[in-house]
Amino acid sequence: MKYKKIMCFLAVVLLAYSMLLLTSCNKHEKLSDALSNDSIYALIYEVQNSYDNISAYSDEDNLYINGDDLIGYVYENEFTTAVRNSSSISINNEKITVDLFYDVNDNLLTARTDEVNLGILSTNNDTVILEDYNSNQIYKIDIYKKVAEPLLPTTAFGFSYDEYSSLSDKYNTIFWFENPTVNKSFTKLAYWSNKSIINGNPYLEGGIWVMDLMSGTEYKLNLPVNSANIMSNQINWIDDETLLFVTHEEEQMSFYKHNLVNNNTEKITALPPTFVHIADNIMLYSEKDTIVIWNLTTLQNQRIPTPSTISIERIYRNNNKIAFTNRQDNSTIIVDTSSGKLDVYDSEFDNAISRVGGWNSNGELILNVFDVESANIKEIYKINEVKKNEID
Amino acid sequence: MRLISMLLSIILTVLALNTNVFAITIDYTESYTSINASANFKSPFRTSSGNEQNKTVNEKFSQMRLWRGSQADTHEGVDFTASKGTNIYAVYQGVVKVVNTSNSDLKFVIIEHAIGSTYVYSVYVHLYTISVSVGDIVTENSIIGTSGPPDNDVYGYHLHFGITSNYSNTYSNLIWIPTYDFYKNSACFNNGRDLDYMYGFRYDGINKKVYLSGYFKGDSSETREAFNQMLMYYRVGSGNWQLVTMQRVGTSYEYSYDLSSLGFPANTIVQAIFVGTVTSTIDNAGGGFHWQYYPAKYKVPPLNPNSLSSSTSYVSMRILNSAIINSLLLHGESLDTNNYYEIIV
Repeated sequence: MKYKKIMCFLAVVLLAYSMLLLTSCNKHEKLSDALSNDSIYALIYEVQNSYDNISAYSDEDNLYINGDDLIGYVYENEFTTAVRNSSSISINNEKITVDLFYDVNDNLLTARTDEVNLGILSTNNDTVILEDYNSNQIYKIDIYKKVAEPLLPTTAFGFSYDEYSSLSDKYNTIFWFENPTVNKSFTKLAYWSNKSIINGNPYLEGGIWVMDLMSGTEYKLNLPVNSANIMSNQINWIDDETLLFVTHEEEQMSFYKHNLVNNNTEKITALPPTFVHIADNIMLYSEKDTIVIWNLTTLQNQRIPTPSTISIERIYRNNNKIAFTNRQDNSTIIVDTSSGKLDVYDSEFDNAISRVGGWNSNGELILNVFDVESANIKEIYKINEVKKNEID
Repeated sequence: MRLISMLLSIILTVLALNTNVFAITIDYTESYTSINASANFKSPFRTSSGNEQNKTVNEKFSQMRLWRGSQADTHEGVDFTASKGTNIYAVYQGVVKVVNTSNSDLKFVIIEHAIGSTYVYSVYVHLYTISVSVGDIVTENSIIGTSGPPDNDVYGYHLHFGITSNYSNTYSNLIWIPTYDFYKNSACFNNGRDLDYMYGFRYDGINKKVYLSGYFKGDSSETREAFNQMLMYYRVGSGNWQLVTMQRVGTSYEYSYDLSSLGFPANTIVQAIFVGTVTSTIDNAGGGFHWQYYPAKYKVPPLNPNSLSSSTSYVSMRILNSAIINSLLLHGESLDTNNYYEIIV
């Protein structure tokens, strides 16, 4: 009799425990309500607390969740689960995993890898361009054949990596490539490197290299600037044939655009050392109580006063609108470059960090909200600009 | 009824084993272990798609060197090779506490990180441009600036990075602490081992041995130079330091010593200083001072700590039950700053 009671008690405990597990396994719940009726933030996706140690992020149309097979993307204004296909590819006898994500029509949405020292530069149909700092090589991967073709020659000016490496000391180290970037039409690759030559000997001096992805040929740009002063981080495509680059001279940075077809280099502006944000042919930086925006296509600039000193996390452009998070107060700022108007959306998120994630294909601004403690994403919102204007 | 009480006693036993009921509080003033337990920092470098990136370590934390060819000192942070203009990321979420641009060669940013109830600070030095302001809330995806310094001739282009237990707008007031524990679970920098000259202090209760690891890493080199010896100086109270030599574990960079062989009775508190030495011929390894202590001192100290003219930090260990050591804690100040004579990074 006693055993029966004990067994019953254990069964009840087991049942309750199972219910608890089932509840906590409820993965992601889509919500459509807002913070409040007057809120300008519309909650569109909630990442439940059922995952331990997950991190997630969204950019533009895609939602990524690490550590799990789920990835969502915006399809007909709804987040939809993408099809994931993990592909194992051999590079230098090392197996690496590249995760490929497809939409409902079997189009490749994006690719990712979690491996240290690797980066996905670009995807196009059945091709992924991958940078690998372990082997100092950039690969063109055929995702169907699972073949990785090395793009960079193993020598520059006839000298190998090891020969350049032997020149390295504490003050100057060989960088075979840095910050590679592929143009929109997937025809050219540009990167920074300090592999150079002087009097027929290998020499470490910075410069920009361009590779034709069709023919595989590459060359170092001959620019009318002191090549040694070209900065490694700011090499951007303005269009398929035009690059933006930056030089430094102690306390001055100079911005240039260079056209590869007519070999023309044009100076845009010069600034004291300033962190400059560049995205989609827009260059933006803040001065005291002002943001300065350059249109890199027209080379026109405008200055827009800000309500206070701001600290910009990252900029996202959608036609004439530029959005960013002000790290000082977690507010979201949208600048309309055609009207010169600046809208500030104060953060309504308690105990959380909010960051602009990008514009979705409907022209709505996506906002990621992170938990302060874990820095993991917990909710994704979109901003209702109409509502903001109503409240104003 | 008997079954229930049996079950209860099993549960209590399991609970007792899983919670450290045998822990004993020790009279220490500083404990890195309690700071480091739960924080996994990221690399300050990222690839194009945001993956963590390795960079070559030029000088490890607490690695001795010859500064400007003559003075033997200890490096207070970690130097990474980085081309000028490399984007630098916050290594952990936090709040920007200091942005100092008063010296263009030494522009630095300090970020405060809450680790449980403790605060530690990541420091980024020799920046060229800075994208953050004091009070900014940053995450691991935040770019805080680009590496410099403006010129290559004094320091060379690199990032000087480190962790401190305080923050200050005055660089020389910073108290640097070991870096390894924040990266020991990382896939970068040889699982954090490339960051500190000596690291991974631990006790193996089964073999009753203390362990410490370390190696030297030269400028812009991937070569890891093993110590030619790891010494342990120990004492009880304020007596003289006694010397024993630790044994290298196989061909690894780890060294061990069986503490039970010293025959201390239970409850003895033993203090220890470890000295890792490399051969004098290694380039830029401190010249005539080719060793360093664990815990580290700023100026390279005498090989024998009995010759020290100032107080020193040490590891404090309490012996329990015939050489069962329960807790290993760093005692005293994190770095001896009595011998500061120049701001060097």
